[in-house]
Amino acid sequence: MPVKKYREFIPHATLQDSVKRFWILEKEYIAEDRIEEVTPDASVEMILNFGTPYSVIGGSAKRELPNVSVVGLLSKPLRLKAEGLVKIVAVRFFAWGALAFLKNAGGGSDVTKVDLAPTWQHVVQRAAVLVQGDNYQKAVEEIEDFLIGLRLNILFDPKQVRTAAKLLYHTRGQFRVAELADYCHLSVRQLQRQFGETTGVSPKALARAIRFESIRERLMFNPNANLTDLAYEFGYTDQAHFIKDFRALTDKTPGEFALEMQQLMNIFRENENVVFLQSPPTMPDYNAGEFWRKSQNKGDGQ
Amino acid sequence: MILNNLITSLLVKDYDEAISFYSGKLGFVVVEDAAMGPDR
Repeated sequence: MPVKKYREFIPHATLQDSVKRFWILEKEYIAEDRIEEVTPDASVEMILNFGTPYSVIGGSAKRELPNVSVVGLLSKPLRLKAEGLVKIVAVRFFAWGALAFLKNAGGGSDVTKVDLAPTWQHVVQRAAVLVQGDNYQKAVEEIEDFLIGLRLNILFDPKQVRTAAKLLYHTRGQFRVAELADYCHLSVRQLQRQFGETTGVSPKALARAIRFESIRERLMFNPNANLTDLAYEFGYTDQAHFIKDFRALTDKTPGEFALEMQQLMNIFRENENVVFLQSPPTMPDYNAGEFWRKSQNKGDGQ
Repeated sequence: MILNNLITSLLVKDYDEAISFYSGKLGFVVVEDAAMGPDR
């Protein structure tokens, strides 16, 4: 069993509108199984790896990732490889949640690698010691405390876009951009510009990522889900469109992907050191209209 | 453990706007920017 540990943690309440999960992974990569495929989704991951480094497969040259990497919003699978034991503590941000926390984490602009900001260096050092002592949970708590501290200092809070992005999340990506703009009392162009400034991508791209992420979660936890029903449930009017979107994001058909998820989850189910959490606690299942009224009344996008 | 490689990098794929966002606004450096064709 190459995955020795995988565990997800619910973030502290004050972080829940920005951070979806904390997670840890300890995995041994052996000769015949060294490839890791990262599927695009609607999250931005900050990954602290204190074990053997990953390298990016493809691209121009072999690139070894440093201890701290950020995986932004992908539109294609990202293939990594490693040999030996990786030891990861990671923060999974919502697309709109990463900016406020990460904008001062690095620096520089035209070299391939930059020094981590000193405040981050300290917390990463402490986490490294804890992980080497096999205390992943404490390492997660260390990073969580650090983020809570940062949260207090955050002045930047793009409320309108945060609200719009959450609305997309609640409706699992099934919202037309024009409707979203209407809800936010913005023109489509304004919405798109503000979205770009906060998340780095367009509302449409984020909606597609969220829809895919929702379908993937469904396949993980309901492996027998019917793909035709799933396509309709997630707003696809025809299978061809569903398959095309899936191929674009995963290089696989929904059927192939579903089968892989089933096999993976079957392996994980037998491993008590692998723990997934289902739907995040911050995303209750109320409808878009109600969500919007609440946001308006509180005036803070919560 | 000595962290002699305590640096950040960023992985994004194919979104031009995301790349400029992360490398500009967040101060991260893009290490992976594979050209994946016009499809996006």
